[in-house]
Amino acid sequence: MISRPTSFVLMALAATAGGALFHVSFEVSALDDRLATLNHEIRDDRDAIHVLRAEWSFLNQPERLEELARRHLDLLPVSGAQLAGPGALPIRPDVETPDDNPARTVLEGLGTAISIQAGAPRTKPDAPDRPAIEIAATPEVAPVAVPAVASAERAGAAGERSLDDVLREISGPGAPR
Amino acid sequence: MSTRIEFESTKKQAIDTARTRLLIGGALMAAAFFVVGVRLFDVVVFNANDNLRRAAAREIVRPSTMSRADIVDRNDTLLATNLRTASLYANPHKIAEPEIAAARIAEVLPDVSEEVLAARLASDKGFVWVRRNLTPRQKFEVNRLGIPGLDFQDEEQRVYPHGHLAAHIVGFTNVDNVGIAGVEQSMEAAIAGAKEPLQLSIDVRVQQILRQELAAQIEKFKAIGGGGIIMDVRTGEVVAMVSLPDFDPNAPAQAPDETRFNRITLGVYELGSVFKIFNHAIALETGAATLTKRYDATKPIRISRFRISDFHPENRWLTVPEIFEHSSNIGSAKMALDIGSEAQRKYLGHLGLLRRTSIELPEQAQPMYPAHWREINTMTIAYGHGIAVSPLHLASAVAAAVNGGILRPATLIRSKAPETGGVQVFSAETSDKMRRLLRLVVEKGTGKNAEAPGYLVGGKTGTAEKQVNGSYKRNALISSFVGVFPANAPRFVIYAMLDEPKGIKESYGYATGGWTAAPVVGSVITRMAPLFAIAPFDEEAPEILRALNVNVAATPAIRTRSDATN
Repeated sequence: MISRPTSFVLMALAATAGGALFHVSFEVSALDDRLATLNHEIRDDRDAIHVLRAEWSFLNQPERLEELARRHLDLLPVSGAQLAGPGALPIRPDVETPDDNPARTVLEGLGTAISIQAGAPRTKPDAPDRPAIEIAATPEVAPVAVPAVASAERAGAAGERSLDDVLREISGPGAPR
Repeated sequence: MSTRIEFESTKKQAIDTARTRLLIGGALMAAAFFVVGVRLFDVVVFNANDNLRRAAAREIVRPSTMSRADIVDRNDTLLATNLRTASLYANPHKIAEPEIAAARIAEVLPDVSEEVLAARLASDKGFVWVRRNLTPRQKFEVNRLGIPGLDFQDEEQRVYPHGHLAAHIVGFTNVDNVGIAGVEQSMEAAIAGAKEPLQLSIDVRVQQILRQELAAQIEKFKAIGGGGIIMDVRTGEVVAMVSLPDFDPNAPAQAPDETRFNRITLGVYELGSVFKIFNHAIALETGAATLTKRYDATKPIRISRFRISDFHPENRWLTVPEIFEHSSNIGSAKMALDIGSEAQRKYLGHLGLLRRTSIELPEQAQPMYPAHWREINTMTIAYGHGIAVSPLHLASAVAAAVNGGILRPATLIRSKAPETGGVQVFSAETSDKMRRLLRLVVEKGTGKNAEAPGYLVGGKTGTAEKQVNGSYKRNALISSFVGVFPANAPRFVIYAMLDEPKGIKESYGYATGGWTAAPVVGSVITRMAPLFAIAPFDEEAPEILRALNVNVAATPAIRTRSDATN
C-alpha cells in the first residue's frame, strides 16, 4: 500500500522526532536542575544578605556610633549654627578670573538656587570638553557682575549674550538658533 | 463439491468479516490519530501565545519565604527582621555513645549543659531538641563534629537589631512569630506574610537623643522612670517615643514587668499645669477671656473642702498672659469658671482627651475624668488635676493647639501622602495666640530651662502630685514639660516627663517640671534640629518678634518688649 521509500522517509522522520523529543526533554530536565540549584543559591544569598542587613543595623546603633565617633574622630555633631540656606550665601565678588564661566554666573544669578542643605553639587568652573569653555575663552564676554539678576538684564540690554544664547551654545552647534 | 463451495464461501465470509473489522478498527485508529493531530495543532498553533504566557507567568525565582516582613524606621533603618536559624535536634536511637557526643556538643555550644544533654541523648525517644536557633557559625561547628544522629530543623527567629531603643514602639513576638506587643501586635495583618517592609514614622537618631537625655535626667534627679514623645505637628507622626526604664525585645521574657510598661501610651497621669494650655486656648476660642482680661490672684480660692493656691504666688491681679507665664492656678481656675463646665468638657472632648487615641499600639489607656462634671472639677481640670490622660493624648492635643487648630490623630506609621484630614478644633487665630503665650513661658516664665538658643522654643511646665490611694502625695511628683519649636511656625511637639524626681542641690531642692523636664526638651531640640535641617532663627529679627509678640497694652513689662520691636 505504502511504497518502500515513503515508509523509510516516515520512519526516519519518526526517529528524528523521537530523538528531538528526548533531547528537548533531557535539556529541560537539566535546566530544571540548574534552576533548582540557582534558586537554592539565591535563597542562601538572600538569607546571607538578610543576616548582613541585620548586622549592619546592629552595628549602626546610634549609641555605638556615638561612642566610636567620640573615640576615633575629631568631629562633633553638626550644630544648628553650622546650617545655612541659600539666602545666607555671600554676594559673589566681582573678580575677573580668566577661567570663570559666565554661563554659570548667569545661571546662579538668575536664582538657580544652589541649596547647600540639599547638597547640590556645584558645577565645576572649568569642566573640559564642554562648549561652555569656549564662551569663557571668548575675550569680549566680560564676566557678568553680581547681583546677577540685574546683570543679566544689563547683558541683554547691552546686546551681549543673554541666558538663552548661552543655553543654546551649551546645547551644541546643531541647536536651532 | 458442495461442501467445498460451502467451505470456500465460509472462508470468504470470514475474510470479509475480518476485513470489515480491520476497516472499522483502522477507521477508529485514524479517527483517534486525527483527533490527536487536531489537538496537537490546536495546542501548538492556536494556543501558542497562551502557552507562552503561562510559561512566563510561572514563578521561576521563588520569592523570599520569611514569614514576617521587616519593620523599618523613617530612614529605612532596620528595626525588626526575621533571620533563618537552624535548630539542632537528635535522634537518640542513632547515637552510639551519648556521653561522648554530649561532651563534644557542649564544647561547641557552651550554653548546653553536658549532663542534661547526655541524659537526653541516652533516652529512649526518637526525637530530642538539643538547642533551638543556632547561629550560622554554631551550625558549621556542629556539622564539623560529624556526629551521626544529629540534624537541623530550619526555623525563623525575630531579631531586633536596635534592642532597647524602640522596644515599646516595635514590641515583640512570641516563639511562634506572632506579634504580642507594640506595632508587632497591632499591625500583625500588615506584617505577617507580607513582603514589603512596614515603615514607621520614628527616627532612630531622634529616638536615641530623646532616650539619652531622658536617661541622664532620670539619673540626675533619682526619678523612678520617665518618658518622652516627639510628634510632627503637621502630620501627627510620632518621630520618637521613649519610656524608661525599657527592655530588650530580643529577650522580653527576662525583662521585669514594669519595664514593659509604656508610660507614654498606657500610663494615665494627672499632668498638672500643662493643661493650662487647653484652658487658655478654650478661653480664647470661646471668647470667655481675652489677652487683656485680668483676674484677681491675690489670695487662694476656697471651695468646699479644697483650697486652690499658686505654686509661684504673685498675689496680685494678673492678665491672661501673666496667668500663663507664672502658671497661676487661681487665675486658671477663675478662667475656667468663665468658660463653664459645658464648654470645657466639649472642647476637651474635641481635643481627643476623653477617649482612647487611635495610635497603632495595643498598649493604650482610657483617660480618667469625672463622671459628673461639677464646678470644682471644672476648676481643677483648668490646671490639670482631676483628669488623667496619657502623655500621648497631651502631645496630640498640644499639636492641635499650635498647628493652626487642627487635631490630627497620632500615628506611628509613615504616611507617604501629604497631610490630610484632621478636625479643626481651634481657630487659626487662637492657635497663633497660643504660640505667643507658649513662647512667653520659655522666654520669661517657668520654662526658661527649655531654651535652645535660636530655636524659639515655646512650652509649658507641669508639676503634679501623684495620687496614691485617693490622696495626693506631696513628694511624689509627675514633673513634665511640653515644648513646641520653632514657636513662630511649629514643626514638632516635644513632651518629656519624669516620674517621682527628687530635688537636688543644683535645682535648689526643686523637682518641678521647669527644673527636671524642661532641660531635656531644650537639649533634645538643640540636638535634633540639625537632623531636620532646621537652622536657628535670628531672635531679634523683626518678623520673628512680630510673630511671637504678646501684644497686651495693659502690661508694662510686655509693652517694653513691643517698644523694642518698634
